Amino acid sequence: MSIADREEARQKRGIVAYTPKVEQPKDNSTFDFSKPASAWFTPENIKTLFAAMPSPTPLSYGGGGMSASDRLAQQKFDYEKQKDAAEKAQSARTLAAYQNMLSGGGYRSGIDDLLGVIEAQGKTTRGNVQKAYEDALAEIGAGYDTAQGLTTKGYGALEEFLRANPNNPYANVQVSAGTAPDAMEQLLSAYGVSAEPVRAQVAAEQAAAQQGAAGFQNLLSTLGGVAQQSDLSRLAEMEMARTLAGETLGTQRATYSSQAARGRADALAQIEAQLAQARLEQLMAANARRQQIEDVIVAAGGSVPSSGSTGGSGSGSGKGSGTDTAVNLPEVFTPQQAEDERRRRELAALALLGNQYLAQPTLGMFGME
Amino acid sequence: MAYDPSLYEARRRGYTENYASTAAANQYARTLSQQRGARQRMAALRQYEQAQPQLVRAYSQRNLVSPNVRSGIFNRAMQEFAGERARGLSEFDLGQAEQMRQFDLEDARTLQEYRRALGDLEAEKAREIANAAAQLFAFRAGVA
Repeated sequence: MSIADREEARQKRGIVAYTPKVEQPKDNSTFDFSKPASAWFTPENIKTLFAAMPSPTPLSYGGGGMSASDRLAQQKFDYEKQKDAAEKAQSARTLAAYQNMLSGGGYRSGIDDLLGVIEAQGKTTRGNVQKAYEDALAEIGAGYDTAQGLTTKGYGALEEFLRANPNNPYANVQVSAGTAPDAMEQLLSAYGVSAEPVRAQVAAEQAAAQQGAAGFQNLLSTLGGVAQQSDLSRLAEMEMARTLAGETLGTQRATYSSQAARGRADALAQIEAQLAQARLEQLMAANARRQQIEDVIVAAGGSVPSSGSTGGSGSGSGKGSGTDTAVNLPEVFTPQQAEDERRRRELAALALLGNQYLAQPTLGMFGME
Repeated sequence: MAYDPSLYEARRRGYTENYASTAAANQYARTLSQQRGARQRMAALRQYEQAQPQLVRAYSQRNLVSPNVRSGIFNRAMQEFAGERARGLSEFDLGQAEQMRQFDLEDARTLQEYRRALGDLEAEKAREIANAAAQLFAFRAGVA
């Protein structure tokens, strides 16, 4: 086989064992095996037999049957063979390293660190949001207490004033019919004149005066009744206003608390969306790197180690596990609120992922099958 | 708008001064009317006292009355005189009483108006305090 043939064989990534050519006896017809052995070993036959034996192999170098050019070719061939073996060993080591990196999750160690930083930042930010929410609730509670106290004091002063100053000034008005004029009875009696007609007239005048006084008293009573009704109406108005003010403050408190809770929820949702986006970018980078490694392994003729999840939860640190996007909800949520919040955040994360990512099996790492 | 109690105190002073001046003027007018009525009544009494002897003297000059004579005409004249006096004084007293009642009614009405204004003022103040408290609450909650 020529050197060109060997080069071709190398290019085909195969190793072909060298088989030196052995020259066959040119003619063994002189050996008649039908004859007894003694008949063979004639000097002539022995000579012929030795002459037909092959020359010593080139590897022995000790023989004198190989030319210099053949030895040079043999040395070159040996060098190429050793070089091929070294390159194969290097390729095997590289392939094994890639496979180990793939199966051990080493290809994503830096990404896992970044994911840890992202998670820590998210935890800090969520804590800040929760703290701001609790501060807002405390302010709302203190503001409500202050406002309630002021309102109670204001309407208490009004009630005290109204009860201390009943508005019925007509009750104290004195009504009198006055005294009737005398009938000059002494004078009439002195002249022997009867005073009876005069007494009757005076009585009539007195009756008229009493009727006038009674009418005036009725007028005062009517006006006093109106004033008392007005007083009662004002007291009722005061009670209604006090109740309304209290209810208004209560409604304000509920509204403000709700707004604070909504603000917290929005902030947390925004944070979660940003964290999910950051995680997604890192995990996409991890997948891209994994794909590159897989491509290299396949191109090198190796086999890709199978793992349950292409997302690579086999990292030594464990940070790249399927809980990358797990949501750590604040403890202030009730179970129902936590469920709602988790579902809402999943939807937000899904929106960020997009349909093109949903089709990829690598999304198993998000726990969103 | 922030609650400013000084505004309410100024209005309260205004109401009080207005009521005080109105009530004082009414009371003064009542006193004057009462005094004037008393003088007029005394004058009327004096006239009746002065007229009575003249009436007796007129009937005496016509011999319609004497220690031994008591005529029916004189009797009727004296009864009419006493009746006229009683009617005059009664009408005067009634008119005077009506005037005093008018003053009393005006006084009570003024007092009612004063108290109503104070009640409105206090109610307005309480509402203003409640509104200011609600606004302060909103400020403190950071929504205003």
